[in-house]
Amino acid sequence: MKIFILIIFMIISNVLFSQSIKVETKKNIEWFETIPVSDIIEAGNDYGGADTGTYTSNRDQTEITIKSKKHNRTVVKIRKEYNGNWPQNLDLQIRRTDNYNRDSNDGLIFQTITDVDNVFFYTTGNQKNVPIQYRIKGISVLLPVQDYIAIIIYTVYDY
Amino acid sequence: MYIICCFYAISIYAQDSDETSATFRLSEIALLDLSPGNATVTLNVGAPTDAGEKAQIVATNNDKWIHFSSAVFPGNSRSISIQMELGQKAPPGIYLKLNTANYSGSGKNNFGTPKWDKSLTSVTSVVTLTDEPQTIISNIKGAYTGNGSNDGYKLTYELEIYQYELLDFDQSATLSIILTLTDSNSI
Repeated sequence: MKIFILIIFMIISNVLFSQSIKVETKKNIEWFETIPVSDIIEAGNDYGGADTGTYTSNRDQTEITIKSKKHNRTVVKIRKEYNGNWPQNLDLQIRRTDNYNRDSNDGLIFQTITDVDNVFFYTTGNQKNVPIQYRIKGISVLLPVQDYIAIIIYTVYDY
Repeated sequence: MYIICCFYAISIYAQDSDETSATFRLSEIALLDLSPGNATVTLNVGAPTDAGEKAQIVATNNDKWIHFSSAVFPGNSRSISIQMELGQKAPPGIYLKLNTANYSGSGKNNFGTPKWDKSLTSVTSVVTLTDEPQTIISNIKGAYTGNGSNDGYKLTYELEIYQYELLDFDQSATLSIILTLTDSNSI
């Protein structure tokens, strides 16, 4: 009997308080940017273009889906992890590109993804396929030649 | 007991995480050019104006600037060597020399150093050109020199007469100079 009541409590609390987040990538391909050598216009220059050393993903590179109770307010936080050294000048940024049916404007402007959880945006209830775009700044010939890999971690919390 | 379990359940389900990744692949870069272009440098040995004086060496457009962009694997470096085309040599009695100044300009990072770097005294390095490659700048890592008219390493070609009796004032030679940016793989 005690175990039965315990299970009931757990189910109730699950239903009342749980939320989940699912991260899906466009066509199941994560953002992989091979920096083209041709972006160096001439010997003596760094990577060029209108915005030097900056590369941007598709507007819907990632789509996140949040499942939560109808009026339950949640906050999505983001951080990054990486192997080895992440150059100080390499600035990985994130924003959401669609505000349809969202309840706030936060997260619409590019913000830096740091090594600790930072607020990305607040929302309420279920949100489906929120489109996410990334941007990297600071790509340069000054950086050692290698692959720089960041794991971007989304966490949804009760708020 | 039930309350504790309830809070425990809440604590478990009150947050959830998922992740994706982003990868940036950088390639090796080794780009080199000269400014102002590949225009010919002209160096003449003229007769002395007064009896008993040395022959006059007249140089026209004898300065060049090396520009480069370099990106290397961790621990690697590059160098720049110079040589005449294989089999070429300066006319008898004359050395063709190259003076490499210290880096100047608007670029960034590890530009390397001239072979005989004497930056503390602002003395530049000089090599006598042959058809064998000679390093003029070494220890270049991730760097770009800038691409302006006064960016990079300034090279100055000079003639030096080492034996007057070998000079032939009717002789001339056109020499092709080759600059190469190569991996040194030094750590």
